[in-house]
Amino acid sequence: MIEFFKALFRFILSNIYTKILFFFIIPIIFLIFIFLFVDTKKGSLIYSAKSIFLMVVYPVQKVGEGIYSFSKEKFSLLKDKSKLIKENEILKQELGYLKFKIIELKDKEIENQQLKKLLNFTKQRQDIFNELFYITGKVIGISSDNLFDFVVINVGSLDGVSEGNFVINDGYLAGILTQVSRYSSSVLLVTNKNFKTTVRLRNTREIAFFQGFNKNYGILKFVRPEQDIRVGDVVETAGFDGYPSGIPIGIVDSVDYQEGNFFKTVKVKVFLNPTKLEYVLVLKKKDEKRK
Amino acid sequence: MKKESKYFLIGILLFLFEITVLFKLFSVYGIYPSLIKVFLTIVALEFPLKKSLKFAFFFGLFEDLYMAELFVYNVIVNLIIVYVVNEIKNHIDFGIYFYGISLIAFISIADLLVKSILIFAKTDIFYISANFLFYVLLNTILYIPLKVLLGR
Repeated sequence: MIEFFKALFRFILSNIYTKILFFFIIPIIFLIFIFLFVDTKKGSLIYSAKSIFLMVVYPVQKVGEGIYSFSKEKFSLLKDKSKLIKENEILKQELGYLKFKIIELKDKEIENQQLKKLLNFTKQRQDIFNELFYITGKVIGISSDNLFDFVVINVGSLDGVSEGNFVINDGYLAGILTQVSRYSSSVLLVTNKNFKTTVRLRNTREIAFFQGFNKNYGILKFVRPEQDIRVGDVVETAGFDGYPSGIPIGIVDSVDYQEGNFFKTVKVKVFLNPTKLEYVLVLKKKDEKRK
Repeated sequence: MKKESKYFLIGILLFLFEITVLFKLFSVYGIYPSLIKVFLTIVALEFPLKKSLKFAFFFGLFEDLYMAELFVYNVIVNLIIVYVVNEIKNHIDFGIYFYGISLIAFISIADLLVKSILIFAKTDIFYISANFLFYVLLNTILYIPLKVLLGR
């Protein structure tokens, strides 16, 4: 038996093709298998390793971002604009919060209109926005891959955020927290192909399933032919996951349907511009804060 | 060993630069280059296969640990890149910059294709845009400065 394996091993080493097969192609197939099926969710070994790595690179990202901001500011000083830049940054933060407040009010308005129409109106649904608080974060890093959008923000578990929290920019949904370390977190952006969430259309109130597609567009999946999806309608969060409904994600750009198909093809133009992200709001439920 | 350590250290610095400020300095239409992919191509040209594969594995692992959700994605891509470069390098003189730049362009396209296929396998979405030509272009632009930085 041992002789057989020895002979087999000698054969592998002597033949260039079997050598490539055993030492390159088989390991690659094994890695692809790991890539497709390994668990990276919270509690897994890989999640912990990633959190530790995020913690290790945090000081470098913080310093790097600091140096960049400092140089940017000093360069602007030459043009006598540094004051304006600082004010602008503060205003940007405030603007983001105010836009979010406007959306909150718009959502309330639509909700009130609908509730008035209902005869058997119940007061079961509490205002979900009152059950939330927010933390401001700054983008300190970005994905090293053009095909997989995410950013790293300077808010971590020490600030009380946790995996799954919604992240908002300029009043629009920017993404969700997927990896949280002590000092920083990764935000999976709405433009990422791995980003999936249940959404609602603002005017027709149809429910659909949103998935990121590229840096500008997302798609609505499993849209049945009888569903009323109109070009120009706003796609917003449905609020099924305990977070507020009505946070806009994008606008319906095109609707295609070919007779005989099970589903419509719906393209959504997303409001987020991943490369212009600077400040974000992380939404958190108040009961999570108490924990 | 000394040369290896120097390359390893420079690689780490490039990786940290890439994930921190590179996108703010070199982004065109939201597309930014990959210093690590260019670096690994140079490594594969400089070192024998076994050593290049070690570099590819470690830097792929760094990239994957940093990435949200995905794992061994960059390891697979880097190993393939390094292997392909090693297969090609004995047939062409990459000391000539034109060939080096052409190789980077080829590797960048191969990198995009392999990644798109892997992401398709994971998400059912296959997407390649004309904007990715900027990725190829930016990588080729970075090839000469990196080659000079690495001492040749």
